Amino acid sequence: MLELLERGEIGPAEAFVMLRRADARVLPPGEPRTGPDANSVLRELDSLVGLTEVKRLVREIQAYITIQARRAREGLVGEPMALHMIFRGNPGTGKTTVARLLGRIFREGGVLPRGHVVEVERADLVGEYVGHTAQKTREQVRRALGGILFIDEAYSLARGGDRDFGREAIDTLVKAMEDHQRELVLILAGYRREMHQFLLANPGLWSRFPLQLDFPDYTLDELLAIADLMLERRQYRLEPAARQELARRIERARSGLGAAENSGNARLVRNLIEAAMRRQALRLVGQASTTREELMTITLADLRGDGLSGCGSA
Amino acid sequence: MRECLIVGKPNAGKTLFFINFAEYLGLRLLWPTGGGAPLSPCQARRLLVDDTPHRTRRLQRAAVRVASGLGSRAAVLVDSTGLTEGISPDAEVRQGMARTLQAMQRAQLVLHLVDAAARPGTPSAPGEVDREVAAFARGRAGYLLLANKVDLPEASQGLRHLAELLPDDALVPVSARLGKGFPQVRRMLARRL
Repeated sequence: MLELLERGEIGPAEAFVMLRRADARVLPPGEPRTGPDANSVLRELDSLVGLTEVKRLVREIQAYITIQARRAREGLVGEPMALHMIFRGNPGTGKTTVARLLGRIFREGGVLPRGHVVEVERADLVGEYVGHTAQKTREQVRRALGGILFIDEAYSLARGGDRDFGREAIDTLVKAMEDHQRELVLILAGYRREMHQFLLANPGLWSRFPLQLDFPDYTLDELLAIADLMLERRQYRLEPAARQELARRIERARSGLGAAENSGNARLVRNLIEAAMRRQALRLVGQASTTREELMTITLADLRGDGLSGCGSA
Repeated sequence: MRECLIVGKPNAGKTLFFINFAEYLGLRLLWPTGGGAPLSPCQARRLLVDDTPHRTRRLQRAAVRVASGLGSRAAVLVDSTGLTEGISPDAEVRQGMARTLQAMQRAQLVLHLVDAAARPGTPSAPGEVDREVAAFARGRAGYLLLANKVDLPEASQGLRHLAELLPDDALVPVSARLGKGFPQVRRMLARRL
């Protein structure tokens, strides 16, 4: 562009128009793709159980990115959108899964060149002596450039008061957000209440994280649907009695003492199912021959883990 | 080091503003780009400024300190080649303009000078290229619109015209010749540096 100006092929006014157009384009040439992969991301998003609100916002973001790309093609002014986010919710409510999907959406839409997700927590960012923290944090930022830096339990950066090195990590991150505006999306994740307090303690962060997503605990029905999906993918199925038992177990975990924090989540379901799969294997491994049906079925005993009726039925 | 880039059309008064404002900020000697003996502001005015457009062919730089609160901030004031409407026939001018645009892409602060006293239709009258400068600079760096030559009687007419041309920007009336508006510009710089 500057050469065109120098050679006298365009005047300064045209040069500015071209520069602005280049600015508006969020990424260098690469046209945003809306091919099969963009659709597959949306399909995957839809296949997640529940998360209605999150899905709506993700669709909004994707639509916005697509339209921005079309506007850039028409030479319209593009406002670079701040896409840094706060994810609030208990463990196992889908935060990491959604972050990975967003990474792909950002790559498809040309917002981020790579769209990979780097997951870190306090220990990856905070150092042991003065200056160490900034160095460690910058290192993680460097790894995440072109993608998403996902900070789990981000509120823990603010614990320990003003002399804690967590402060330094926050400052370094804020600076990185400014320095790498177009190469980095930051997601801070954590428990709902803790994240709220974290933001109250760091009021400057509110405006830097315009997108705040709540990941509610799954309902019992949603958890059962997740279980069905997991089993289907792994090509297992539950006996009717086992399915009832699974529902009871989930219910018990949800209503039990201290259950509030990690019972409403998909991880609990996955752990129950994987334990049952191991017990089923143990039950069948001694048999000389097994039918296809047997290999696929998880019985009540497998799920309970008491091993009695399982052996009897074999 | 933070760069404050002075841009505008030819004959908007960029170089006089550059020298006088640098002097106002305390600069005693200017080192011309491309070598040569340092110039006092007085000599610089005599040698670098006159009525012919495009006297400034290369970026000129002056390191200054801008008082801010109790301390002061170091900054570099940069004078640039004027930007023409349309294509200039002079290759050296075109090269200078390319350098100006390049500098605009990295400057932290853009001081956009327009000639408030120019009669509409004359080459230095604010026009399309000023609108483009504003649109570009506003979006990325600190941006100040300075309406120069307000010491001349024609300026009152010109200021009205400017408000129509660039309705989105607050403008600071200055006179590079008399130093009018300098304190306000300094305050605004201090806030933005």
